Amino acid sequence: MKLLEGKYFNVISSSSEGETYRYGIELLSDHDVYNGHFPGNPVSPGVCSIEMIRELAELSAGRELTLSAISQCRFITVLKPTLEEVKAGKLTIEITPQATENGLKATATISDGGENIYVTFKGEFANK
Amino acid sequence: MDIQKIYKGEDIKKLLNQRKPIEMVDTFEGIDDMTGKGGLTVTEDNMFCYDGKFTEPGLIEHIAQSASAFVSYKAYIDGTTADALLGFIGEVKKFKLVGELPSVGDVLSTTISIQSVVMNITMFAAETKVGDRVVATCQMKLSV
Repeated sequence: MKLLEGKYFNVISSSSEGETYRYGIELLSDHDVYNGHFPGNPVSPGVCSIEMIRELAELSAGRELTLSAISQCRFITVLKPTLEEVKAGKLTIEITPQATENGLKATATISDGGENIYVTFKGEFANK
Repeated sequence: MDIQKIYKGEDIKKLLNQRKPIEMVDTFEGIDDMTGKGGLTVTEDNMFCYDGKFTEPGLIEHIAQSASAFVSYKAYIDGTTADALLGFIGEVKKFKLVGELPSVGDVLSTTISIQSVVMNITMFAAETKVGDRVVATCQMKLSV
């Protein structure tokens, strides 16, 4: 299910190394959500970062997944579509999934591809 | 100052800075010092609805905004602000989706129980119900 891909973000590159999938992400600054979050001050909603991770977990697994649990998700740096690193196409989401009985659990990181981390995530997804 | 206990309709804007299309609380009620309740009727045009279901990010945003409304409400009572405060999610912990996602037409009711406030960070536990059925529980840190 693509609630945000193609509207709020695009996947511009993908690669994998060992168990980890790495996606280059473009944020679309003209998405309607920025009219309300917040008026005159576009900030990428934390929950949209969580949803990007869920949609990329689906992409990596090749099947539909429900976000069933988050053990911990930390928002370390405020993400905005207007940040230089984001506009330069450096936004990177890395996901390391691990199969479970009825889906997968995964760790994920949203960064600028270098040292600047926006979000760290640890959670579980159930097969639909 | 006369403080309302129940906010709905346009009055919600006194507690929250989020505007359309990401208004995820449409009623708020202050219960006591540590407890508040946020509500939302799920409508078809909600940005987090898909195939008639209210999806996971919508639930988490609804919980965060319920808490953000509560923090603004408390600040009005304490007389420390005249405007809605801007709240950001710092951390989500122990989120658990219970059973089916809510559907269009469902009325969500989320109880926020504050666990601690340190400087500008509020830690709380949340439980979201549709009627008597629990649909999600979690803990969060909100920074204001």
